[in-house]
Amino acid sequence: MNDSLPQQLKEILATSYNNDAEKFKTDIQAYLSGLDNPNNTNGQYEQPKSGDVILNSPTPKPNSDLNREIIVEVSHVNKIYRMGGNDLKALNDVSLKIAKGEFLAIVGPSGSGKTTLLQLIGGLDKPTSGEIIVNKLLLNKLSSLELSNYRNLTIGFIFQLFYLQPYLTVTENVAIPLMFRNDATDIYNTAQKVVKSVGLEDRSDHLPKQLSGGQMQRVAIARALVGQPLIIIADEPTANLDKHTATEIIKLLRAINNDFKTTVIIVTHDNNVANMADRIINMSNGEII
Amino acid sequence: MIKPKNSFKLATRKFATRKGRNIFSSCTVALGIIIILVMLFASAGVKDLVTSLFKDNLSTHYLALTTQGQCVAGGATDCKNKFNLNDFKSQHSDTSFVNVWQSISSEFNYNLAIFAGKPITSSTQLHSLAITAVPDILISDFIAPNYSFNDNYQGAVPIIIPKNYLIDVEKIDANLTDQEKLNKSQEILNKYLGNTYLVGETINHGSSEVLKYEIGSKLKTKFIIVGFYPTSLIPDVETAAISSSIIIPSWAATIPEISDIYSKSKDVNVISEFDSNQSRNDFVKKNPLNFSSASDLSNSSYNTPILSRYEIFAGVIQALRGVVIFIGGILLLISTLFIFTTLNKIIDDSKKEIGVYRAFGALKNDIRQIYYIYALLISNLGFLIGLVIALAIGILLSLAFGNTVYYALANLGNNAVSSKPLFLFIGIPLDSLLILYIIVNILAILAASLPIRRAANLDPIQVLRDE
Repeated sequence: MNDSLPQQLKEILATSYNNDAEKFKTDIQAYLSGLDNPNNTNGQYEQPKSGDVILNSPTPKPNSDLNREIIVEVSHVNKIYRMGGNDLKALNDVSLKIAKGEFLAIVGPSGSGKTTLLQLIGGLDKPTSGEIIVNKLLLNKLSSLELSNYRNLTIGFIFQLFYLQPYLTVTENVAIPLMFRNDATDIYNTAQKVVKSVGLEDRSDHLPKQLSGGQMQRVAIARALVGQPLIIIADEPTANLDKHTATEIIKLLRAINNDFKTTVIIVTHDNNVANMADRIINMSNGEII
Repeated sequence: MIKPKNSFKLATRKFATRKGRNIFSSCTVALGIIIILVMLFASAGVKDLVTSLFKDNLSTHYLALTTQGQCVAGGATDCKNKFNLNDFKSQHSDTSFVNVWQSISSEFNYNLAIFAGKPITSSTQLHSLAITAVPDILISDFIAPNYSFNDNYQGAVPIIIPKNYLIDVEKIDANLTDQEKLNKSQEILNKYLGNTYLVGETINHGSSEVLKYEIGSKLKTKFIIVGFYPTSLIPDVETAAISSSIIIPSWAATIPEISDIYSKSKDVNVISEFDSNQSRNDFVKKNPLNFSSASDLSNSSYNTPILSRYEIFAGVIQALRGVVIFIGGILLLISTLFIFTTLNKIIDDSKKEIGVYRAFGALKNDIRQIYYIYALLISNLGFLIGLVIALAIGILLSLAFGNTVYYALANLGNNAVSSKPLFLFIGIPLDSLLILYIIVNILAILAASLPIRRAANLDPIQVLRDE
C-alpha cells in the first residue's frame, strides 16, 4: 500500500470487510465526509497541485454541479447489428447528455447495450441512426481518418482486460497514444510523468507480466490519461480486480476526474463502483431506463 | 501519423517476442539467399581470377616469338589473330609480380624463387605456355661477369638460355673435354635453335664454372650466350615456357634474321623485351609475315584467341550462375510464402493489439507501417543470415577446392600463374548484392501486403466486442 496515503484511508483499505460492501461504503463515506470539512483534523485534504501524485490525492467528493457545458450529446441513437442475416438491435432510441467533467456510471445487465453506447461515444463505431455529438463534433459525419484523430485527441480508453502490449515496458505502454500523434515530442518523458502520477514510477521499466492486476490497470489508466483526453471511457475497469484494488482504481479515476476535470464514463456491473459516480444511468434491452 | 522511429520500435519489440517463429521465417528466406549468394560469390571470385589470368597473359612491353609462327600468348593459333596489349596495361603492377613469383615457387614447386633473390623493382610479365619474359634485374644474377644482356658483342646477339641445355650436355658424360662438351652442346642447341654455330669458352659465374658459348648460324646472325638461367628444378617444362626459352634483348629483336629463329626451331620460344609498345610495334611491323599488320596492334583490336577463351569461361560461369540463381530464385519465392504465412499468423494473434492501437488513434497507415517494418525485419534478418552463411560456405569451399580449381583454371586458360586469391570462391559483386537485397525486400513487402491489408482494415471495435 502506498505509504503516502492518508492514515485513515490506509486503515480503511487495510481492513478486511469480508465482502461486507455496505460496511466498506459506510467507512469510505465517513472518510469522504471528513474530507468535505475544511477544518478536518486529519489536515490531509488539500486541493491538488500541479505535479501531485494523483494516487495520493484524497478521494474527492462527487460532483454535484452538473449545470455545466455539455460535452457529449447522444440523440435518438439506434444501433443495429446484422448477425447471420438477423438484425440485433443493440441500442434503441437512446438519448443522453453528459456534462463536461462529469463522472458517469452506466450500469445494466449484460447485453443491455452499455458497451455499444461506449463504443459509439468513443468513435469506435457509428450509429445506425441518430446523432452523437462530442465536443461539438458530429461523430456520424467523421471519416475513418478523422475518427482516428478524434480517438487520439479526445478519448482515453480503459479496458476490462487492460490490453497492455506485453512486449512494451510500462512507460512505453503508456506512451502509445502519443506515438500516434503527429506533433508529440518527448513522449517518453511525458509518459514517465504520468506513470509517476499513478504511483508506478518504480515499475516504469517493467513489462506487464511483472505487474499485478491492479498495477496493470493503473498502467492502462495512465495510458488513457497521457494524451490529456477530454473523456475517459472505461469499460468494466474493475471487473478483473479484487475489491480492494477495484476501490483504489475507482478512487484514481475520481481523482483524475477531479484534478483534470476529465469527463469519465464508466461501464460497470458493480454497484459500489457505480455509487461513486456523479450520476448513474441504467440500461436494459438497449434503452436507458 | 506515427513517426518511423516509433513504428520501428513497436515492430522490433514485437519481433523480439516471437524470436522462434521470426527466425524460422528468416531462415527460410535465408535459404534462397544462401544458394544465390554462394553462386554469386563463387562466380565473381572465379571470374575475377580468370580475368586476372588472362590479363596477366599479356604485357605491353614483352613479346614472345614462338616456334610455329604462333603469336604471343595465343597458343596454337595463327598470327593473323589480333591481339590487344593495351587493354590490360593498367592491370599490371610491380608489387603484384612479387606475389605472383612467390606464388609460382610455392604453389607449383618451381624453383623460380631464385630469380627473386634481389628486390624486384621492374614490372615483369610472367609466362604462359606461349610467352615468357624476364627483366634484366631478374636475370642479371645469371649473366657472366663482364657481359651484359643488352650489349652488342661485335654483331653477336646476346642471349640467355635455360641452364638445362647445359645440364643435358653434362649428363652425357662428365668426363668429356670442353671441346667435346661444346660439340654436344651445339648438337643440343641445334636441336632447339635449328642450324646454329656455337663457340664457347669457360667463364666463372659465382662459385661455379660454366661455359660461355657463342652460337652462330647460317642465318649470319651470331648469338652469344651471356648467361644461363636455372631450370633444373622445374619439373614440367611444358608448363613453364621459361624453361625452353631463349631471351634476347630488345635491340636484338629488331635484327631481321632473328625472326627466322622461330621458323627454324621447333621447341623454342624466343623472348624479347621491348622498351616500349612502340619498339614492339616497330618490330612487328618489320616482320609482317609473322603478324598480320601493325594496325592490328592498335588499341581497338583484340586478341581473338584469348578473348574467345575468356568468353567461353565467362559463358560457362554465366550459365552456371543463371541455373543457380534460378533455383535460388524459386527458393526465394517459396520463402516469401513463409513470410506470408508468418505475417498472417502474427496478425491473427495480434488482433487485439491492433484494435488497441486503433482505439488510441492509430491510422490504418500506422498499422501498415508497423507491420511492413516487421516484414522487413524478417527479410533483412534472412538476408543477414544468408550473407553470413554464404560467406562461410564460400570460405569453406575455397579452402577445400580452391587450389584444385585454381590450377585447373590456370591450365585451361593456358596461363601458368596469377596471384592466387586467398578465397577463390569469394568475390563480392556489390551491384548484384544490392539488387538481391532489393529483390528480397520487395518480395517480403509483396508477401506481407495481403496480411497487412487485412490488419489495417481490422475493425477496432473487435477488441471491445471480444471482451
